[in-house]
Order: sequence, then structure tokens, then C-alpha cells
Amino acid sequence: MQELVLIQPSSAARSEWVREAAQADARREFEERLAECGPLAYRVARGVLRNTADAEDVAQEALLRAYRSFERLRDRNRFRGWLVRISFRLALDRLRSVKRREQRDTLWSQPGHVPPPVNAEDIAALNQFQGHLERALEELPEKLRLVLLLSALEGYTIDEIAAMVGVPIGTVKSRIFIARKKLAEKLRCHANTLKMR
Amino acid sequence: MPCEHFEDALIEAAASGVAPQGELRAHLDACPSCRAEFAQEQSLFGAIDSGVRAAANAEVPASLLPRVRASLDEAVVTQPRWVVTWPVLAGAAVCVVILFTAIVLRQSNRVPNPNDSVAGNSLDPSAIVSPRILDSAGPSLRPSPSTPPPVSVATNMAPRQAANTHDSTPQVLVPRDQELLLASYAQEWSSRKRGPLVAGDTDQTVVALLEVTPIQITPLDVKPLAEGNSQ
Repeated sequence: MQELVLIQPSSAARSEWVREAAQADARREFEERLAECGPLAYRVARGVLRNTADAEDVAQEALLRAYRSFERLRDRNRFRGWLVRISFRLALDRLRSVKRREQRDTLWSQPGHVPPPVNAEDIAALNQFQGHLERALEELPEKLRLVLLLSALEGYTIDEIAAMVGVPIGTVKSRIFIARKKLAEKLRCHANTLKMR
Repeated sequence: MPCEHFEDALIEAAASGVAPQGELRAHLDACPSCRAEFAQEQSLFGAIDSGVRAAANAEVPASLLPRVRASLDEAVVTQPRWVVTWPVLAGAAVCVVILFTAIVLRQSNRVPNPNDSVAGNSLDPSAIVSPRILDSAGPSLRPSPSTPPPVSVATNMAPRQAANTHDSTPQVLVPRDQELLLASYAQEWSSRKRGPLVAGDTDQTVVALLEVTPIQITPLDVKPLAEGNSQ
């Protein structure tokens, strides 16, 4: 006995077309976010790693992960916060693995990484202080460190940082305050290397 | 050396960036040492802020976005492999499920539950014949008037009606010119394999025990053959 079944031969091709169209839409939308959030991911990573090449690798990895999870991250604030956190986490992982592998000195004290100084004395003083500052930053707890880095980024308000990190505004403010005080405690003994500016 | 009483207040004021007020303001106006300390604290926090800002706002290399786009392209290319693979896997899984179901159904048909069959709840598929088919097959296939008609799915029965009769009853579509043939085949099949059960389905009367008369065997009378004949 034959059983008749209705089939649609074009359904597979149609689903393929729908899938590709959705993928193209997601790609287009992601490209819009990329222009804004690509530098953000890089700067967060570089704030941790203090190395351009490593920070670029970490930012690329974070953005790729964000693209793979883009369906869950369509909301702009959510996307930015997720990207910041994943960049920070990846950068910390990278930093730990690099330290374990090489125990290398940081590139942070190189002259190209600090604002252009006025004269040779300033260069020496700033480089020395900057080195101490970087070490002090590394010793900060991760929560304080991330918020301090984000607050130092140009173009982001406290509200936006709170949305990115996922904590109340008051918490962001208090974390910034505590982080700066901790840094000051560690750097107070090196303050004499600074020239009053 | 700052006055100990105002030391914490000095640091708090410098850290917060707010101009000192009230008692602290008055003390700073009167105490040059604390004023110098306050200025140094302000300088320290200023240096920290500028150092952190320099670290945070590093120039983004021009190669970053092209690198990311290239990696996105690779991700897009690699994605369809998985997408192509999963329908094949899903199809294979469906085939396995269908095969398994068919095996289970076949086994359940081989070893039917006698109680269910007697109660008329489960009928052999081949024995399911509509009254209309039986009518058309002639009086030899028609059940007795006292028996209820068997639950069946016929060619002319509406799908909803068929679903209401029995959910597990398979439905078949039969061409009109083969109705009689199917009816006779079903009757023959049921009489061979499940005769008593089908009889129980169609006729509620008690089936009389089969009486078998003993076989009478007469002793054989064997006569010795003559020698001449044995050759």
C-alpha cells in the first residue's frame, strides 16, 4: 500500500537562503558595533597587558567571541559590557600566561608609551613614576582595576561604565575612589620623583 | 609635617578632588605645612590620573579592525560546515527512530495481549475491515447481526471520524476495485493466524469445545509372503 506524502523540494534551499540572509544581517549589525567597540576592547586589553601586540590579539579574540554570541548580545549596552568583561578577562589570562612563561619585564617604561614630556628630567621622572604606577595598578584587585581603567577611557560616563560592568553607579564611584586611594598609598613614597606640574 | 589631626582629611579631600571646606579650609589657610602637604597630595593624584589615562587611551593600531574583519570572514566560512552537517545527523536520527518504532510495533503485533484482543480494544490490522467492505464482499463475509461491527478504518471514512474510533488503528487507502480482494485477504489471514480471537471479536457467543472422535485403528493382518513371491 502506498502512502502519499506532500514534500517541498525547495524548502531546503529556502532555509539556506534565510540562514544566509540572517547571517548577513548579523554581520552588518556587528560591523556597526565594531567601529565603536573595537577600540574599547583593545584599550581595555592594553590597559592590562601594556603591550600593543598582545592587546591586539586579545581584542581580536574578544571580538570574535562577541560575534559568535551576537544573537544574545543584540542590546547595545549588554554587548559593550560583555565585550569589556571578556576583554578584561582574556587580557588577565594572557598576562598570567606571559608572566609564567617569560617573567619578562614590562614594556611600559618605554618612552613611546607615555605622554610627550617636556625635557630630559621630566622623561626620567615620568618614566620612573610610570613604572611604579604600572606595578601598583597590577596589584589592584580586579574589580577596582577594571573600573579605574574604564573611568580613564575617554568618552564614557559613569552611567555607561556602570552599565558596562553591571553594577550601580554608586558602586562605580566608590570603586574609583578606593582604587585611586590604594594607588596613592603605594606611590606616595615615590612622589618625590615627580616634578610638580 | 602635617598636623596629624588633619592628615586623613587632607588625603580624602585630595582624592575626591573637591576643594576643602569648613574646618579643614580654615586650617589650611593657617598652616603652611599642611598646605604644602595638600598640594603634594593633589599632585600625586593628578599624576596617577594622568598615568592611568595614558595607559587607558592608547592609540588603537590601524591593523586591528582589518584583522578582526578577516577573522570574522573565516568564522563565516567555517560556520556552514557545521550547519551542513547537522541536518544529515538529524536525518539519520529520524531514520533510527522510525526504524526503532517499526521494530517495536512489529514485535507488539507478533505477541499480542490476549485480554486486549478479547475485549475488542486491539485488533489485528489485517482484520480491520469496514462494514461497507464486508457488505460488498457478500453474505459469506458479513458478521452476524448481533455482533457489533468491528472498529475499522475504511476508504470512505473521514479522517476525524477515523481518529475517534481508535487512535492506534492504522489507516489505509484502498482503491475501490480492490476492496473485495482486501476483504477476502483480511478474512483469510485472520482465520489462519488468529481465528479464535477474531471470532471472539465478531461473535460474543461462547465457542463450543472441539470434539474429536478417537481414531480407530484396526490391527493389521500381516501374512508371510510366499518364497516365490518374495523374489
